[in-house]
Amino acid sequence: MTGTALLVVVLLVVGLAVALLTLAALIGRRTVRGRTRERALEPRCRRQAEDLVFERLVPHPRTAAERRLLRDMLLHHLALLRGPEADVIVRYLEEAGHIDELAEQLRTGSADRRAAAADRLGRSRSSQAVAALSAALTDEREDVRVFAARGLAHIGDEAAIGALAAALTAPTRWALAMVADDLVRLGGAAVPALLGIARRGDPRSRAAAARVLGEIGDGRATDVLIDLLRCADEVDSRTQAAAALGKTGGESAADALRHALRDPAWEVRAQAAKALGRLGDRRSVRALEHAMPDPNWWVRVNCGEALARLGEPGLTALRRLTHSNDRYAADQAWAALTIAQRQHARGGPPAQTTHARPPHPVGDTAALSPRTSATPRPALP
Amino acid sequence: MTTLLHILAWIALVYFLTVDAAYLAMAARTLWKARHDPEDVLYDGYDVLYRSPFTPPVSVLAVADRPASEMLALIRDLRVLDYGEYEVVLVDDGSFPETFPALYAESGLGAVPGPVRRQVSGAAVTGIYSPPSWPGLKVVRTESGERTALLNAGVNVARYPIVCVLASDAVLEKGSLLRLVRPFMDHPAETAATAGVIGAPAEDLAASLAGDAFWYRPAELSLLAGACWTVRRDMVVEVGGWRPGAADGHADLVFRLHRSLRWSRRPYRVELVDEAVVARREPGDLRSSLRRDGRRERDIVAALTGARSSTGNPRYGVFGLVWLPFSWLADVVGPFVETVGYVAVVAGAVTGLIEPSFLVLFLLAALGCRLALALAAIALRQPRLESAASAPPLGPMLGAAAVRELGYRQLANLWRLRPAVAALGAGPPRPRRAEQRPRPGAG
Repeated sequence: MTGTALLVVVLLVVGLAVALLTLAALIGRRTVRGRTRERALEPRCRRQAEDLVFERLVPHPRTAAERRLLRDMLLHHLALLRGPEADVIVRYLEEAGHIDELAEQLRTGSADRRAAAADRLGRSRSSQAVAALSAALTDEREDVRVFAARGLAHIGDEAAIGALAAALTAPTRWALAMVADDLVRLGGAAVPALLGIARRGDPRSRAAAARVLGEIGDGRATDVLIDLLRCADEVDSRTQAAAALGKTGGESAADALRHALRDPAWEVRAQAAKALGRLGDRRSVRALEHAMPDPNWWVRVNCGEALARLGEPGLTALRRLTHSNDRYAADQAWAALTIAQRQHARGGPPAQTTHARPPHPVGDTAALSPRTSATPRPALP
Repeated sequence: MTTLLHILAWIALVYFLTVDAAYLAMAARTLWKARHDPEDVLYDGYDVLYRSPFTPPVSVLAVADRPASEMLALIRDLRVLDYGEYEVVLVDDGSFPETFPALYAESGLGAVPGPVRRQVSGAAVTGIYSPPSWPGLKVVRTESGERTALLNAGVNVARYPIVCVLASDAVLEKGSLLRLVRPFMDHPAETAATAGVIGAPAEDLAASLAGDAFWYRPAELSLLAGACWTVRRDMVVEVGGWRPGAADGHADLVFRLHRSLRWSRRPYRVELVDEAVVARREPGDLRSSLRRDGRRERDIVAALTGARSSTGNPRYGVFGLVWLPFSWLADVVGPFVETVGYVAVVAGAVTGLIEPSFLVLFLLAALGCRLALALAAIALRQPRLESAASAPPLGPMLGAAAVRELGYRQLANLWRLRPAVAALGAGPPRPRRAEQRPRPGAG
């Protein structure tokens, strides 16, 4: 009895393992076969694609696989081409029914198929794809929505800006990177839609919009970003607004950023310091000097680096800070000063600096510090 | 004598059947996930991510634990990494004295002054150096210490929110770092860590793909199989960094990450990114492979003994109730039971004390099932890897997997016994003060 039961159990386990092996082999074989077929078709498809682009010879793919491969190859070429060559490809894709097929896939396919179709339709740059892509902007899947919005942007459709901006609503960072890439490329045209989101969007999309506005660097965004920096409840929005203001610039931006050095959230203070360094407004030296003895490491680092970017007044402030009672600020000031001097020495005339000795003994101060340890200070140049 | 042999053989057989059934269930899950049509593969957007300011910056962390020529090769490879914003933190404790002069001569290192955040307890930093032509490279000189202490020193110096821990003989394949970071972008709040697989030579990839710790196991333990992994820096700091007392300390860190996140009931994810492939610069021989397995065994056993209080504890959810007990069974009990089982069954068969039918069933359960699972893993994964990396062809990999299951595994079990016993005797890694009291204001 025991022997039979054992036999059954062992055979069951081994049988399952073998069944699994068979299934895995089948799936693997499907992948291998697909790739082998693709490799075999590649030279012919490439020839047909080149004939279409350069000789205007209409291709006649013989099988469905060849047709698909040719389509993808043409889409790939399309990304690199402009002018009449690109027009020939777009016209072929439309006349050969590829756009209709992809639009159908976008309507009825599985989630992955829909996303792939939206991606291909967008890259086709065909005006026939606009309706299908616009409809896909409300798809339940984020990547389908993102590909559709990007596709509209590639085609140059008016709806694209609004769609791309709307895709900033609760995005993953991947979607944000994708959408932002197009929005930044659109530049000033995208700013009004983004400002709308920065004013009225939900917290996550406001932060994302602020970030993209910073990348675009359009001065029209300054007032909205200042409002966001002053009034937003969520730390992320304030942080992104501070970072963006460093890129959009303006006098009022510097004022707001100096004020933000007193923000309760260290993330905002750190970004404000960094942004002030980027703006290069020497009137910020005093505020940065006061902000430098901060409990947070990143705030101290950014204040030090910002001061070092503000020329001689900043370096003078750093020299004063090396005597600060706050040893962490003093350490950071010392580091920023030394690096700045080296950069001056490499890139131009050395800064006129005469240092007092280091404020603390050279050596590993880890034992003294609950917050930082210092590397031994090298002799100043 | 007969009774003893029978008892040992039965224990081994029950063990094999239990573990095989568990592997089968996990393999079926992976197979279900892999069923979709490869034509659905999407545009991944890595060209956009590469240049996007929204891609998180990464600190690549390596320890100078190999001769200078290899470290120079590593640095040259990392200099042309296809990633947007990153820095390389190379920790050198002087164990290879010629490394620092060689780096100095090649890139003209200069001292970088400045305080270091001491957020985890590690080897004392004696200096940080960086070449003027590449400020992203930081060579951190420390006092000599264990590998875990050096990694902690590197974490302290690392500036960026994600740390990529790379073996010093590893080469990241094209696009691998972007692939490793992608989960952090898809699920920024939840992703705690990701790992890549070893892609070359065939034996290493076969071991990665068909090994116990790879696709049969869920993401919870998959990091252990990674040759290269990325982890959120703040989470490393939160658990106090690597602890001494284990070979690499990775298993210990992974377990503590899980425990910390489970304990605080935060949703999190760890992912094994099988398109992120790491090649070893020099193929390992049998001895080095065995040594690596032994080191990994010591690492895991030490980590498991450190996580005793979590094992079977419902507070830690599936991790505590399922995966930790399973790891005890497969990684600690496994080498002992398998070795004793093989010896008992072979001895019984030779002396005629065990029936031939039992011997056949035992071999089917012990070897046949494992072999089928290993081959299935390779058959499924290898074709998918081909496009992402310079993966070896299917034939040699299947051969390597067969050799691994029918010979190498048994040898490795023997090799794993000593470190397992040593690690069990040594107990859990020592706790660090940094774990008990987080440092304020180190942000």
